[in-house]
Amino acid sequence: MNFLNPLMLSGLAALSVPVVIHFLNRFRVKTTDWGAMRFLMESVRQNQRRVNLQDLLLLLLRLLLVALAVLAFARPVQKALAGLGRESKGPIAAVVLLDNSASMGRSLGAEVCFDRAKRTITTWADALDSQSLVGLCLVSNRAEPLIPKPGPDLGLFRKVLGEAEVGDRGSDLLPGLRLAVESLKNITGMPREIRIYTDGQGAAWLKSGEILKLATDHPEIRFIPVVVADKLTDNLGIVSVRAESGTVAAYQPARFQVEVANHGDKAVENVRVALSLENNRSAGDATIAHLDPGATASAVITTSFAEAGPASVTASIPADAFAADNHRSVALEVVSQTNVLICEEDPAAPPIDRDGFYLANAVIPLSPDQAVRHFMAVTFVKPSDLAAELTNSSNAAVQAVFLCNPAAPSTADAGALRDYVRTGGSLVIFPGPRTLVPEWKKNEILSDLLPATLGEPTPDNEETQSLTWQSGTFNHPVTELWNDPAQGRLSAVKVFRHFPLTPKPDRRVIAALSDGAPVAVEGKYGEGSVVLFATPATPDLSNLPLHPAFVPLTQRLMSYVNRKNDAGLALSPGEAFRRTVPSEFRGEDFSVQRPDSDAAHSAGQVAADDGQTYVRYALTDKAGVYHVRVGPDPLATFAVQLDPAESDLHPVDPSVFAALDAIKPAVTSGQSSQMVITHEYWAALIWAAAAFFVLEALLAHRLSHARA
Amino acid sequence: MTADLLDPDAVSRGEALGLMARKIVEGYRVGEHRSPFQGFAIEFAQHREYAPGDDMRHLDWKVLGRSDRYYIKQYEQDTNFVAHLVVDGSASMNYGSGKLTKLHYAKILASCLAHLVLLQRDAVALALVDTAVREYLPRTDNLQRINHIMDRLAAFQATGETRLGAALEQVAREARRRGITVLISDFFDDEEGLAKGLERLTYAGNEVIVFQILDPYELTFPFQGTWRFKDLESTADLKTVPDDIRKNYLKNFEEFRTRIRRICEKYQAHYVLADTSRSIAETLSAYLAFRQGTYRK
Repeated sequence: MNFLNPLMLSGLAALSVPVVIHFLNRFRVKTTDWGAMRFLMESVRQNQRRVNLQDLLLLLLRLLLVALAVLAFARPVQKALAGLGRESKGPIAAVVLLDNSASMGRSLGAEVCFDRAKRTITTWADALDSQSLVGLCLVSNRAEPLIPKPGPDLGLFRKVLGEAEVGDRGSDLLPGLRLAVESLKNITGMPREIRIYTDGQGAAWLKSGEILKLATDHPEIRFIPVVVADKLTDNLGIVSVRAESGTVAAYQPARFQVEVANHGDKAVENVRVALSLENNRSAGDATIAHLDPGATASAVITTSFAEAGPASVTASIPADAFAADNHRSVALEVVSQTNVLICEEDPAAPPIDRDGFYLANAVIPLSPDQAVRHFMAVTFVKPSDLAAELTNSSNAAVQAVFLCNPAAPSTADAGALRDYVRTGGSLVIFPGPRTLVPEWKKNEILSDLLPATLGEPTPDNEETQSLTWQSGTFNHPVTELWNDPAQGRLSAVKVFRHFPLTPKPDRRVIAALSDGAPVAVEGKYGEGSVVLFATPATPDLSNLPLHPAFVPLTQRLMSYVNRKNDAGLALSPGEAFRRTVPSEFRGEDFSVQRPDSDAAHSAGQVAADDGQTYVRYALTDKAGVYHVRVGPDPLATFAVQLDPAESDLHPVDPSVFAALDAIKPAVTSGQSSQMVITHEYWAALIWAAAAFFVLEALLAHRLSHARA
Repeated sequence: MTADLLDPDAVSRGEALGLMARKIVEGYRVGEHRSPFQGFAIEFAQHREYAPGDDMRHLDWKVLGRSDRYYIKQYEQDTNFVAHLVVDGSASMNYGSGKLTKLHYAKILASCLAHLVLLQRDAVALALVDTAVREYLPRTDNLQRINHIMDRLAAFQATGETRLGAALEQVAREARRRGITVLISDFFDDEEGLAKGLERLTYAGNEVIVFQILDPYELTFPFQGTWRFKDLESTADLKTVPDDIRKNYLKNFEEFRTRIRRICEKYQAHYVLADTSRSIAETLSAYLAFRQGTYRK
């Protein structure tokens, strides 16, 4: 019990008034002699008990009357910590978090999960007290507040709710919950709650530890999960589509690997995977014969592209209740030819003496007559010509630059390399006996560019102790193939001497030596990437170039570094598309054709910033293929892909909900401001006082008559 | 004039009391010409022949019936009745809500009665009592003694409690001859004692007249607020709210008066309520009128 006007309680002092009057009457006594005393005594004896009782009753009534009046003015209220009650009947302040992640788009039979959630919310809102405050926030892997601050306009709430749409984003409730807590934190005077309408997908509650901590830190706010979906037992989803070769060239076979995951509880047989090109042109299909529950299997489909330029492919599997992951698109840049620069000291030397000989054969492992028809062309360049080659606009399509046994690049060369990588080029460095480590270290541009610090070469240990590459447990896409022993063993690669590499933070180790020292490190720089090896591309310091794994390693490395061309073309929903374009497009209007539209719509202007000309488009909420055009000319194609985790519809562990429900706030004095009023009693007290007043008047009147 | 005579100070003086009584009695006698006490307590002596002019009331109808002769009943000349006036002097008689206390009222009433009786040449004896006969004036038929009676009355002060039963026993012993005994009191005594006294008096052949002197406040109990009542007959006091007990008090008091009346009826005594808010003359004339009406029948 609390009081809104506790100062009014001082009015309880008025209780003394009837008492004082009572005693004043007793003390104001007149005296007289009296003869008929015995009758008086007898009457007093007969009356005294009744009179005392009546007096006491009247006194109590009057005291009660005063007390009730004072209490009514003090406005007593029943308070409770916000969120403690179950379903509050009075006004509440609530933020509705509506999960609009892709999984909410699954069918429940007559309706989709998202529509059921909206219907459930509407039913709840209809039953709300008219004084309630309501906010609305769509939540996927980001929070999108539609009514940021809880307000009393339920009409607006219903309108905004009706217009809300399910998206293709992933699930993470934490950002929305944090936003909701912030918006409710300063509201007092009524119960506060966050209602989370979701399909109960476990992926949304991956950060349940932080969610529980948030709920525990704010016990005044009640967290109410409302699961609107039934458990889905069967779901197949395409979790990945990618070109195996990394770079796709026109007229060249392109192998696409389509990964399908079975998130159901039963094994699935004969899953047909189809691949289509733009305009729904079939590109072939394949069948996955058997897919165990929880397993992932790949289907490889080979196709080709008739012309170079932006393109896309879409893989699909038979429809099921969750349609969003039954197809997946990937955008790619089909090239007519890929240029690779191999920079070596003497390209004219006999092949066996050249620093890039083994590497060139690994890049194009074909006979000379076949190599000329290959989409990849290798150009050998001397270090002194490297800068010129890189700045030559005709060579703008150079996909990768290999530095083999470089001595000490000049500042100009280093600057050219840096600019090349920053704009999306790939640089692979094989240091060698000619490499002057101190000069590299002194060169600030190179020091900044390299993913690892290059050390002085170790002593030759061929006679004493030879190091090898690590035997397994590769964590990099380039080398993870050799985690399977059937693919051979990289531990057979011997290293006699090497340049110790000290990786910079956030750089990835492609492979390490048997002593744990990195032997190849990869790192991003600008839009490109740099790979630094610890040994040369010649068999001088290691037998890597002679090892059978050198060719697939080089091919995989090529695919990996070339994939950067397509990296910006596969986006998550909501992730902005940004693409560097030739400077002549600067200021031009560009349009975008979205996957949910048949026509392109104006989307902005080609912008320039920091020396780069680029297009940027941020409205990528829908999964599918987006076409960017400047005028009628296609500029780029990119694909927005569903988060693969959305395919896993397994529900959250019920213990999370139980833990949320179990959060009971401890009542402390510091939480008094978080108490909310559940009942007010002043009106009842006024009525009670009025009733007692009438009763007292009647009783007093009756008693006075009885005594007269 | 009468109002002047009701001054309490005047009552405290014998001559004033006598003057007051005479005024009242003379006022009563105007136009009456006959003693209200005629026929009381006179004793038969002999018959004589009827002579014209004799009062026909004294004709002996029984002799006329038997012998067809007219005889007049004659009474002894020295057998005038004695009126014993008994005045209660208990402390409770000192109460008075107005100018007069009950004792004052009783004194005036006794004075008036004494005057009346002496004027018709009957005898008067005065007994002033409380727990016993405190003062007794033997009978006298001398009108000149009226002043002495008044002085005694005037000097009489009420103190202490009442034992009316014992006092009446004593009066009965003094009143050896049949007569009239007038009791003037509030009778706030034990009712059993009163009954015994009346029994004794009536057994001795006395006619008893009871004047119960009561104050109007005792009859209506009109007090408001909180009061402390101090007992006149003892040191006891009582603080109470009269409103609370009025109903019971009036009920108890009425029952008390009823009991007194019934005792009087039992012993064939006349009961007269003397409300001190009424004038003495009014009270007295009302009773005497009642009495004359009764004996004419």
